[in-house]
Amino acid sequence: MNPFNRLMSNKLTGGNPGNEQPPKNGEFADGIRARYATVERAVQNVRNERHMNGGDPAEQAPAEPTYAVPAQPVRQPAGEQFQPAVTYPAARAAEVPTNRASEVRYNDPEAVQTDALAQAKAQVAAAYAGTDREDYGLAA
Amino acid sequence: MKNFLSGLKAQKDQQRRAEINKSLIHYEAKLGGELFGPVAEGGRREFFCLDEHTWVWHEEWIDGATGQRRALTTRYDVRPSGILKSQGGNSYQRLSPTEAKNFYRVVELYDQKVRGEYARMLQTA
Repeated sequence: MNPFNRLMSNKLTGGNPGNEQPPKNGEFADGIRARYATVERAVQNVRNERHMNGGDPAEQAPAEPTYAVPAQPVRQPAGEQFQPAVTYPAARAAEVPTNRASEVRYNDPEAVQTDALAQAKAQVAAAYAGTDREDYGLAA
Repeated sequence: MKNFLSGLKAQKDQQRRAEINKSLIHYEAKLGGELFGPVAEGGRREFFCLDEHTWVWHEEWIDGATGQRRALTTRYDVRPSGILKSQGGNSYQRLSPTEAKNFYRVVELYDQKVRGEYARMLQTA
């Protein structure tokens, strides 16, 4: 007889085997399954409560914020304000880049090309400024 | 007569299921009591899930000053709005952050312990 069956037998017979028939194995199994189903729901209720009420109190105030700041600005439709996908604490909100010129530069391939060309032209123009050498029309 | 006998059998089966459930709770209480570490000599500790929304912690110890035996039963009611506890006849109160943290932790340990124990029993039952 395994320890649990012995325990059950003792419980049901008041510690005097022979007083009553020990429970059959099928009864144990059914009883265990039914009981564990209750425990499982109880544990789940605790987890739900923890989730609904802000999680583990010790985890509510991390030393460092764990949210991710976007690596580069996200392009927004014209006229709309920049809205981060996650809620940022007010103290950090100012750090979220909102420069629209940057958005265009990073996110519009055409704008990037135009910008790069304009920069190259400007560099060439600066390099040849005041010299007699041909600029091959790049600075034009 | 047949109905009477089948009713009697159903009643007996139900009583037997209740007995098994009660014994399982006692067994869990013992397992749960071990989750908090060693118990002082002469003391007793039990922690168990009573039902889907209620957990119970029972502690007995010998008062060092008076030598008297003391007992304290704490009942935790898990509600969607929070966990409330009551001790003896006192009214309900909310858990402190540290107590809540310990409670969450011990419930997870209880789940692991009981699940493992029952799985082992079901293999041999």
